[in-house]
Amino acid sequence: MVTGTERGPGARAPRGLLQRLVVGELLADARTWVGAGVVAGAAAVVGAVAACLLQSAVQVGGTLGVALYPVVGVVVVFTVVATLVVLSSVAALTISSQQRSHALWQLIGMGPRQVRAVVLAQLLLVALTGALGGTLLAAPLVVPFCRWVLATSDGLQQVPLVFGPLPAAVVVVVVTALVTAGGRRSARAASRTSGLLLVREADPPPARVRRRRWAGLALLLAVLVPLVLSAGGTPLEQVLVPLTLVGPLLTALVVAAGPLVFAPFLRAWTSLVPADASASWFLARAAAAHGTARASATTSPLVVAVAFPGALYAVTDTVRAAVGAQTGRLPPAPPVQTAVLLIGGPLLLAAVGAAATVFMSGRVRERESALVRAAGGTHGVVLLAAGWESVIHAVTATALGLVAVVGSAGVAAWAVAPAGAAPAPPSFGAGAVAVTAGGGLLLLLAATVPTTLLALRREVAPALSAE
Amino acid sequence: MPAPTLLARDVTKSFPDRDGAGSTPVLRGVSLAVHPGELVSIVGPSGSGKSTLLHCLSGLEAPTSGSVEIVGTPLTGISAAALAKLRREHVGFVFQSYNLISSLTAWDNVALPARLARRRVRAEEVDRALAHVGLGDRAHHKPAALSGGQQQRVAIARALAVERDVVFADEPTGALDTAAGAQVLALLREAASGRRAVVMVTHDLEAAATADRVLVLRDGTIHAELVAAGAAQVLDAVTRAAAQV
Repeated sequence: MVTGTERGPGARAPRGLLQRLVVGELLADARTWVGAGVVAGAAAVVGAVAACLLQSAVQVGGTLGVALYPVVGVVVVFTVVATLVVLSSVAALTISSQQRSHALWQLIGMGPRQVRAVVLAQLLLVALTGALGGTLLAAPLVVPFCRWVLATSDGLQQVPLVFGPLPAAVVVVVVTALVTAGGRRSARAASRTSGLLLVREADPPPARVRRRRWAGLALLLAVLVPLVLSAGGTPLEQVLVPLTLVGPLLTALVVAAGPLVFAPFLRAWTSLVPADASASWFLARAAAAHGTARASATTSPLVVAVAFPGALYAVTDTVRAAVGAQTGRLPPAPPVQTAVLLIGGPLLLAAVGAAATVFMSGRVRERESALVRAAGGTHGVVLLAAGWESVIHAVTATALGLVAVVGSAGVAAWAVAPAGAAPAPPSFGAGAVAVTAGGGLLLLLAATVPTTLLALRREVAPALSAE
Repeated sequence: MPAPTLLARDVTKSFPDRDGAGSTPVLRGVSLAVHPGELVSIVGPSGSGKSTLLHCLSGLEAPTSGSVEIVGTPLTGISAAALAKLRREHVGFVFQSYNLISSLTAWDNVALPARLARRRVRAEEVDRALAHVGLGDRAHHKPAALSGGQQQRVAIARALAVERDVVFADEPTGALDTAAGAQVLALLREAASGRRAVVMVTHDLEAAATADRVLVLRDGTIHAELVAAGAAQVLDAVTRAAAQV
């Protein structure tokens, strides 16, 4: 520790000391960092699939390679959008949840640059470990998995699939870089943490839409609008590929607007249930609204989880219906492998990300459940509040994800309608939305309820004692 | 003399050692009674068992042996639901830190016990409690927007919003500056009236001296009991206790 040395802010601490701090604090707050590591691992698994397809397409070349490129392109777009959304949210949450440590480091003499360096070093280490673990786990499975998903694709069954060391290394580097980049802004914020947080409730400020996010929103619109307009003039047999990209882009737009939209929307719909309905609902609503206003790390992955499959099925079914109306024969529904290939990775990542963020907030949950118990709340109230909170997050994310689903369906209906005719009737991928929303809720409950039960087994006093 | 609000008989508490081979006794047979309207402070050297005693007295931790009664209800063997009900109706807490639920405003934190008891929240009661601690204008602020002293005062307002029999305060001024600490102490002093008793653990001897009775703990036992003592007497008793550890 730096205590005992007389250093002003910005002074250099011995290198060995900082290294010990990086590792020591990682171990001391393992619960939070494990969540980030697991998400990095899941991102590596998902990235390995995209890398395997890309390497195979490059290696096989010729007609087969050309046939594989559109598939690879869509998989990469889906994966990149999901990865950016989930990793940046989780990385930011990981750092912001350790504000008290950052305040303490500053009080004992570490300068802002040193705090930032330690935080980024921690993130880098965890991301690298997670990415390496995920890639090693995926290495023996990725080729058989890709073979299974391509088994139903005409002409692609013969593609010799490979996943070599170079793409594996690229996956590790890219995932590590994305996690670290996702945490850069939070690391900068950590370096400016006020020492007052040590004597006051540490609570991140409400999220705001900053300049960079406005720029991102503008960029997304700049890509989305021409894509939608061009889809309108695309022949029916080719329209599916551009329409498939509308869903992820709309999802990214919804997620990018998260700080503006998520918390007000959550407060609005939950206000339909009276606050006096039950103490558990009251506590859950307050906790969900408070948390969502500060970080979208739980909501964003769930929005992705709901919107991606919903939009994919909405677009596919709408185009199929249009083809059926034009030819008199409804084309068969795409096999399940296609859906797994396109959205399996993002779904996995989103699910792991959402569950990890809930798991990571366990310490706060433990302390606040102890407070509720000290104020006379029963175990039932605490447990029910955790359950309601999961329901609130799941319903909020489903409703927001539906914006992308309905938007995609609407665009598809407009794009497939013959020139001058009214839009075709859209399909909304209701089944896929229901399955992923239900799955998301179960996952949140699985992440919340056991940790709450564990917290309830602890005595109140230790949970409330100062750290 | 009225029946005691809080009664402890021969309370012991041991914590298992890290290696699981044995246990370390922290409280060694503490007996005490606290009566309505009394402010009792518990002082002692570090490691004397002050906070553990408060936790056992308030039902936050179960004693290893002995018994504790709050308003005649024994805490030994009590179910979790019954303990929760007892806390809602009779007990208030003020901790050194982490007093408030971060997602709730000051107003909602004060109203929380009533909600948990499924009672109608009487807005005027909550408003009055907050005004009483001088925070009427901060009612709709969340804890992060309040200073440490203000957070403590919200916790006191929560403990006082409903007529409770006993308020436990664990180092309530420990994280506060002198002025904020004095405000909190004055409120606790005032709270100990009527049927309500206040039990406070503190290392601040000036704060302890504001109590009707001061219990000096040493090595898990009550070493001395001072009535209406000044800070100098408390200091003397604690110094002697520390010297004998």
